[in-house]
Amino acid sequence: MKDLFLEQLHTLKTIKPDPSFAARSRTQILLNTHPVTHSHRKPFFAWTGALAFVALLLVILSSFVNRVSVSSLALNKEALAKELQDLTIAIQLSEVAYHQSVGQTINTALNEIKNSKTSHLSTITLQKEKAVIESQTPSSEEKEIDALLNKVLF
Amino acid sequence: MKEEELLITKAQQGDEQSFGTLYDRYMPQIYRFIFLKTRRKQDAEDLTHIVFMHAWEHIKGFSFQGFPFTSWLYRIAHNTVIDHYRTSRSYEDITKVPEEYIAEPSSDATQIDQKIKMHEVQHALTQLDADQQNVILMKFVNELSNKEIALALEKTEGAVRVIQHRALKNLRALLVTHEA
Repeated sequence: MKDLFLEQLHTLKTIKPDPSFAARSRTQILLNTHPVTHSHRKPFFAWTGALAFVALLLVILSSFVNRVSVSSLALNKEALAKELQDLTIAIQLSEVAYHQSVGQTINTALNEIKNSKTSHLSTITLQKEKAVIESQTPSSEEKEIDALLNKVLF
Repeated sequence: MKEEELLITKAQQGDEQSFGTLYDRYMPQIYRFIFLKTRRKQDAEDLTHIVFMHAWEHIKGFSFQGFPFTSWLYRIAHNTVIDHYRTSRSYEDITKVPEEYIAEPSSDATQIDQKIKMHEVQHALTQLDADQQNVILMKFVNELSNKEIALALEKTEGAVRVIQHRALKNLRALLVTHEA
Protein backbone atom coordinates (compact mmCIF):
# COMPACT_ATOMS: atom_id res chain seq x y z
CA MET A 1 0.00 0.00 0.00
CA LYS A 2 2.82 2.37 1.00
CA ASP A 3 4.77 1.66 -2.19
CA LEU A 4 1.67 2.28 -4.29
CA PHE A 5 1.08 5.49 -2.41
CA LEU A 6 4.67 6.71 -2.95
CA GLU A 7 4.41 5.68 -6.57
CA GLN A 8 1.39 7.94 -6.87
CA LEU A 9 3.43 10.80 -5.47
CA HIS A 10 6.25 10.04 -7.88
CA THR A 11 3.89 10.47 -10.81
CA LEU A 12 4.08 14.20 -10.06
CA LYS A 13 7.71 14.12 -11.16
CA THR A 14 6.49 14.06 -14.73
CA ILE A 15 5.55 17.73 -14.39
CA LYS A 16 8.12 19.66 -16.41
CA PRO A 17 8.50 23.26 -17.58
CA ASP A 18 7.89 24.26 -21.15
CA PRO A 19 11.29 24.10 -22.97
CA SER A 20 10.63 27.44 -24.68
CA PHE A 21 10.03 29.08 -21.29
CA ALA A 22 13.25 27.57 -19.92
CA ALA A 23 15.33 28.92 -22.80
CA ARG A 24 13.71 32.36 -22.74
CA SER A 25 13.96 32.77 -18.97
CA ARG A 26 17.60 31.60 -18.88
CA THR A 27 18.65 34.03 -21.59
CA GLN A 28 16.79 36.96 -20.00
CA ILE A 29 18.31 36.34 -16.60
CA LEU A 30 21.88 36.03 -17.82
CA LEU A 31 21.65 38.99 -20.22
CA ASN A 32 19.67 41.50 -18.19
CA THR A 33 20.53 40.66 -14.61
CA HIS A 34 23.87 41.09 -12.87
CA PRO A 35 25.04 39.92 -9.49
CA VAL A 36 24.81 42.58 -6.82
CA THR A 37 28.39 43.67 -6.09
CA HIS A 38 27.83 44.92 -2.56
CA SER A 39 26.32 41.69 -1.24
CA HIS A 40 29.54 40.93 0.70
CA ARG A 41 29.13 44.18 2.56
CA LYS A 42 25.70 43.27 3.84
CA PRO A 43 26.76 42.45 7.42
CA PHE A 44 28.78 45.68 7.57
CA PHE A 45 25.81 47.69 6.40
CA ALA A 46 23.61 45.89 8.86
CA TRP A 47 25.98 46.87 11.69
CA THR A 48 26.36 50.44 10.51
CA GLY A 49 22.61 50.69 10.20
CA ALA A 50 22.14 49.44 13.73
CA LEU A 51 24.81 51.78 15.07
CA ALA A 52 23.35 54.72 13.19
CA PHE A 53 19.96 53.92 14.65
CA VAL A 54 21.39 53.75 18.18
CA ALA A 55 23.26 57.05 17.66
CA LEU A 56 20.09 58.70 16.36
CA LEU A 57 18.17 57.39 19.35
CA LEU A 58 20.80 58.80 21.73
CA VAL A 59 20.72 62.19 20.03
CA ILE A 60 16.93 62.32 20.25
CA LEU A 61 16.98 61.25 23.90
CA SER A 62 19.72 63.73 24.85
CA SER A 63 17.91 66.60 23.10
CA PHE A 64 14.75 65.65 24.94
CA VAL A 65 16.60 65.57 28.29
CA ASN A 66 18.24 68.96 27.55
CA ARG A 67 14.90 70.43 26.65
CA VAL A 68 13.43 69.19 29.91
CA SER A 69 16.35 70.55 31.98
CA VAL A 70 16.22 73.92 30.20
CA SER A 71 12.51 74.20 30.75
CA SER A 72 12.92 73.20 34.41
CA LEU A 73 15.68 75.79 34.73
CA ALA A 74 13.41 78.38 33.19
CA LEU A 75 10.74 77.46 35.70
CA ASN A 76 13.30 77.85 38.50
CA LYS A 77 14.27 81.27 37.21
CA GLU A 78 10.67 82.31 37.15
CA ALA A 79 10.15 81.00 40.65
CA LEU A 80 13.26 82.80 41.86
CA ALA A 81 12.22 86.04 40.22
CA LYS A 82 8.81 85.78 41.81
CA GLU A 83 10.35 85.10 45.20
CA LEU A 84 12.71 88.05 44.79
CA GLN A 85 9.83 90.31 43.82
CA ASP A 86 7.83 89.21 46.87
CA LEU A 87 10.85 89.79 49.07
CA THR A 88 11.37 93.32 47.67
CA ILE A 89 7.73 94.13 48.27
CA ALA A 90 8.01 92.90 51.88
CA ILE A 91 11.15 94.96 52.46
CA GLN A 92 9.53 98.04 50.93
CA LEU A 93 6.46 97.59 53.14
CA SER A 94 8.57 97.29 56.31
CA GLU A 95 10.56 100.36 55.25
CA VAL A 96 7.34 102.31 54.76
CA ALA A 97 6.12 101.22 58.21
CA TYR A 98 9.47 102.20 59.77
CA HIS A 99 9.48 105.59 58.06
CA GLN A 100 5.91 106.21 59.19
CA SER A 101 6.73 105.43 62.83
CA VAL A 102 9.91 107.50 62.76
CA GLY A 103 8.05 110.38 61.18
CA GLN A 104 5.37 110.26 63.85
CA THR A 105 7.98 110.20 66.63
CA ILE A 106 9.85 113.13 65.17
CA ASN A 107 6.62 115.07 64.69
CA THR A 108 5.61 114.39 68.26
CA ALA A 109 9.01 115.46 69.56
CA LEU A 110 9.00 118.60 67.50
CA ASN A 111 5.47 119.44 68.65
CA GLU A 112 6.47 118.96 72.23
CA ILE A 113 9.53 121.16 71.81
CA LYS A 114 7.55 123.88 70.08
CA ASN A 115 4.74 123.78 72.64
CA SER A 116 5.78 126.08 75.59
CA LYS A 117 2.70 125.01 77.53
CA THR A 118 4.07 121.62 78.10
CA SER A 119 4.54 121.33 81.86
CA HIS A 120 7.72 119.30 82.14
CA LEU A 121 9.61 121.75 79.93
CA SER A 122 8.41 124.89 81.67
CA THR A 123 11.26 126.89 83.37
CA ILE A 124 9.04 127.81 86.28
CA THR A 125 8.24 124.21 87.01
CA LEU A 126 11.88 123.28 86.79
CA GLN A 127 12.93 125.98 89.25
CA LYS A 128 10.22 124.86 91.69
CA GLU A 129 11.38 121.30 91.51
CA LYS A 130 14.98 122.43 92.15
CA ALA A 131 13.93 124.33 95.28
CA VAL A 132 12.06 121.27 96.57
CA ILE A 133 15.09 119.04 96.04
CA GLU A 134 17.39 121.52 97.80
CA SER A 135 14.95 121.87 100.71
CA GLN A 136 14.97 118.12 101.14
CA THR A 137 18.80 118.06 101.82
CA PRO A 138 19.40 116.87 105.45
CA SER A 139 20.74 119.38 108.01
CA SER A 140 23.87 118.90 110.28
CA GLU A 141 21.71 117.95 113.22
CA GLU A 142 19.89 115.35 111.29
CA LYS A 143 23.24 113.96 110.16
CA GLU A 144 24.45 113.66 113.82
CA ILE A 145 21.24 111.91 114.85
CA ASP A 146 21.64 109.43 112.02
CA ALA A 147 25.24 108.73 113.15
CA LEU A 148 24.21 108.12 116.77
CA LEU A 149 21.42 105.76 115.70
CA ASN A 150 23.80 103.78 113.62
CA LYS A 151 26.15 103.35 116.58
CA VAL A 152 23.31 102.16 118.78
CA LEU A 153 22.00 99.75 116.32
CA PHE A 154 25.28 98.18 115.05
CA MET B 1 36.44 21.06 -4.49
CA LYS B 2 33.25 19.41 -5.73
CA GLU B 3 31.92 20.23 -9.16
CA GLU B 4 28.90 22.09 -7.80
CA GLU B 5 31.04 24.16 -5.45
CA LEU B 6 33.30 25.05 -8.34
CA LEU B 7 30.30 26.14 -10.43
CA ILE B 8 28.99 28.28 -7.57
CA THR B 9 32.41 29.85 -6.94
CA LYS B 10 32.75 30.72 -10.61
CA ALA B 11 29.19 32.09 -10.68
CA GLN B 12 30.01 34.21 -7.64
CA GLN B 13 32.92 35.64 -9.64
CA GLY B 14 30.42 36.61 -12.34
CA ASP B 15 30.76 33.63 -14.70
CA GLU B 16 27.44 33.46 -16.55
CA GLN B 17 28.07 30.04 -18.04
CA SER B 18 28.49 28.48 -14.58
CA PHE B 19 25.25 29.99 -13.37
CA GLY B 20 23.62 28.79 -16.59
CA THR B 21 24.67 25.24 -15.75
CA LEU B 22 23.22 25.60 -12.24
CA TYR B 23 20.02 26.96 -13.79
CA ASP B 24 19.70 23.95 -16.11
CA ARG B 25 20.29 21.59 -13.19
CA TYR B 26 17.85 23.02 -10.68
CA MET B 27 15.22 24.93 -12.64
CA PRO B 28 12.95 21.92 -13.45
CA GLN B 29 12.54 20.88 -9.83
CA ILE B 30 12.03 24.45 -8.63
CA TYR B 31 9.43 24.91 -11.38
CA ARG B 32 7.67 21.66 -10.32
CA PHE B 33 7.64 22.74 -6.68
CA ILE B 34 6.17 26.14 -7.55
CA PHE B 35 3.71 24.69 -10.07
CA LEU B 36 2.31 22.26 -7.48
CA LYS B 37 2.04 25.12 -4.98
CA THR B 38 0.42 27.70 -7.26
CA ARG B 39 -1.41 25.28 -9.62
CA ARG B 40 -1.14 27.75 -12.49
CA LYS B 41 1.33 27.42 -15.36
CA GLN B 42 1.71 31.18 -15.87
CA ASP B 43 2.33 31.82 -12.17
CA ALA B 44 4.78 28.93 -11.99
CA GLU B 45 6.77 30.31 -14.92
CA ASP B 46 6.78 33.88 -13.60
CA LEU B 47 7.76 32.86 -10.08
CA THR B 48 10.44 30.44 -11.28
CA HIS B 49 11.93 33.26 -13.34
CA ILE B 50 11.90 35.54 -10.28
CA VAL B 51 13.55 32.86 -8.13
CA PHE B 52 16.51 32.41 -10.49
CA MET B 53 16.81 36.11 -11.18
CA HIS B 54 17.06 36.71 -7.43
CA ALA B 55 19.51 33.82 -7.07
CA TRP B 56 21.78 35.25 -9.78
CA GLU B 57 21.61 38.75 -8.31
CA HIS B 58 22.48 37.55 -4.82
CA ILE B 59 24.74 34.61 -5.53
CA LYS B 60 27.67 36.42 -3.88
CA GLY B 61 25.76 36.33 -0.63
CA PHE B 62 25.56 32.52 -0.67
CA SER B 63 27.89 30.78 1.76
CA PHE B 64 28.85 27.09 1.58
CA GLN B 65 29.13 26.66 5.34
CA GLY B 66 26.87 23.65 5.90
CA PHE B 67 24.18 25.03 3.63
CA PRO B 68 23.36 23.13 0.43
CA PHE B 69 22.74 25.23 -2.67
CA THR B 70 19.40 23.41 -3.22
CA SER B 71 18.18 24.52 0.22
CA TRP B 72 19.13 28.10 -0.62
CA LEU B 73 17.15 27.93 -3.88
CA TYR B 74 14.14 26.29 -2.21
CA ARG B 75 14.17 28.94 0.49
CA ILE B 76 14.01 31.65 -2.16
CA ALA B 77 11.25 29.72 -3.93
CA HIS B 78 9.29 29.21 -0.72
CA ASN B 79 9.49 32.94 0.15
CA THR B 80 8.60 33.92 -3.41
CA VAL B 81 5.46 31.76 -3.30
CA ILE B 82 4.49 33.27 0.07
CA ASP B 83 4.95 36.79 -1.35
CA HIS B 84 2.88 35.79 -4.37
CA TYR B 85 -0.02 34.68 -2.17
CA ARG B 86 0.26 37.82 -0.09
CA THR B 87 -0.09 40.10 -3.10
CA SER B 88 -2.41 37.97 -5.27
CA ARG B 89 -5.47 36.22 -3.96
CA SER B 90 -6.40 34.56 -7.24
CA TYR B 91 -6.89 30.87 -6.80
CA GLU B 92 -7.59 28.08 -9.25
CA ASP B 93 -8.47 24.55 -8.31
CA ILE B 94 -5.79 21.97 -9.08
CA THR B 95 -8.23 19.82 -11.00
CA LYS B 96 -8.47 22.61 -13.62
CA VAL B 97 -4.79 22.42 -14.54
CA PRO B 98 -4.60 21.80 -18.32
CA GLU B 99 -3.21 18.37 -19.01
CA GLU B 100 -0.98 19.48 -21.87
CA TYR B 101 1.37 21.02 -19.27
CA ILE B 102 2.11 17.57 -17.89
CA ALA B 103 4.53 15.28 -19.69
CA GLU B 104 2.79 12.38 -21.45
CA PRO B 105 3.37 8.76 -20.41
CA SER B 106 4.01 6.13 -23.11
CA SER B 107 1.02 3.83 -23.69
CA ASP B 108 -2.67 4.83 -23.74
CA ALA B 109 -3.69 2.56 -20.86
CA THR B 110 -0.85 3.77 -18.65
CA GLN B 111 -1.56 7.33 -19.72
CA ILE B 112 -5.16 7.27 -18.52
CA ASP B 113 -4.24 5.46 -15.36
CA GLN B 114 -1.46 7.90 -14.52
CA LYS B 115 -3.60 10.94 -15.23
CA ILE B 116 -6.26 9.69 -12.85
CA LYS B 117 -3.63 9.03 -10.21
CA MET B 118 -2.05 12.45 -10.68
CA HIS B 119 -5.36 14.21 -10.35
CA GLU B 120 -6.17 12.27 -7.23
CA VAL B 121 -2.81 13.01 -5.63
CA GLN B 122 -2.85 16.66 -6.61
CA HIS B 123 -6.35 17.08 -5.25
CA ALA B 124 -5.36 15.37 -2.00
CA LEU B 125 -2.31 17.64 -1.71
CA THR B 126 -4.53 20.70 -1.73
CA GLN B 127 -6.17 19.40 1.46
CA LEU B 128 -2.88 19.53 3.38
CA ASP B 129 -1.60 22.62 5.15
CA ALA B 130 1.31 24.63 3.68
CA ASP B 131 4.07 22.99 5.73
CA GLN B 132 2.81 19.47 4.95
CA GLN B 133 2.56 20.31 1.25
CA ASN B 134 6.13 21.67 1.25
CA VAL B 135 7.57 18.62 2.97
CA ILE B 136 5.71 16.13 0.75
CA LEU B 137 6.70 17.96 -2.45
CA MET B 138 10.33 18.35 -1.43
CA LYS B 139 10.71 14.85 0.00
CA PHE B 140 8.69 12.59 -2.29
CA VAL B 141 8.43 14.56 -5.50
CA ASN B 142 11.79 16.33 -5.66
CA GLU B 143 13.64 13.87 -3.41
CA LEU B 144 15.45 16.27 -1.08
CA SER B 145 17.02 15.02 2.13
CA ASN B 146 15.53 15.91 5.51
CA LYS B 147 18.51 18.18 6.15
CA GLU B 148 17.97 20.06 2.90
CA ILE B 149 14.24 20.41 3.64
CA ALA B 150 14.93 21.56 7.19
CA LEU B 151 17.35 24.25 5.99
CA ALA B 152 15.03 25.38 3.22
CA LEU B 153 12.02 25.71 5.52
CA GLU B 154 14.07 27.00 8.50
CA LYS B 155 12.97 24.11 10.73
CA THR B 156 14.77 21.34 12.58
CA GLU B 157 15.14 17.91 11.01
CA GLY B 158 13.01 16.51 13.83
CA ALA B 159 10.23 18.95 13.00
CA VAL B 160 10.47 17.96 9.33
CA ARG B 161 10.12 14.26 10.27
CA VAL B 162 7.04 15.01 12.37
CA ILE B 163 5.46 17.08 9.57
CA GLN B 164 6.28 14.33 7.06
CA HIS B 165 4.68 11.65 9.25
CA ARG B 166 1.48 13.67 9.71
CA ALA B 167 1.38 14.66 6.04
CA LEU B 168 1.66 11.05 4.84
CA LYS B 169 -0.99 9.92 7.30
CA ASN B 170 -3.39 12.66 6.15
CA LEU B 171 -2.61 12.11 2.50
CA ARG B 172 -3.16 8.36 2.76
CA ALA B 173 -6.48 8.88 4.49
CA LEU B 174 -7.54 11.35 1.82
CA LEU B 175 -6.59 9.03 -1.04
CA VAL B 176 -8.28 6.00 0.57
CA THR B 177 -11.45 8.04 1.06
CA HIS B 178 -11.30 9.23 -2.53
CA GLU B 179 -10.85 5.68 -3.87
CA ALA B 180 -13.71 4.38 -1.73
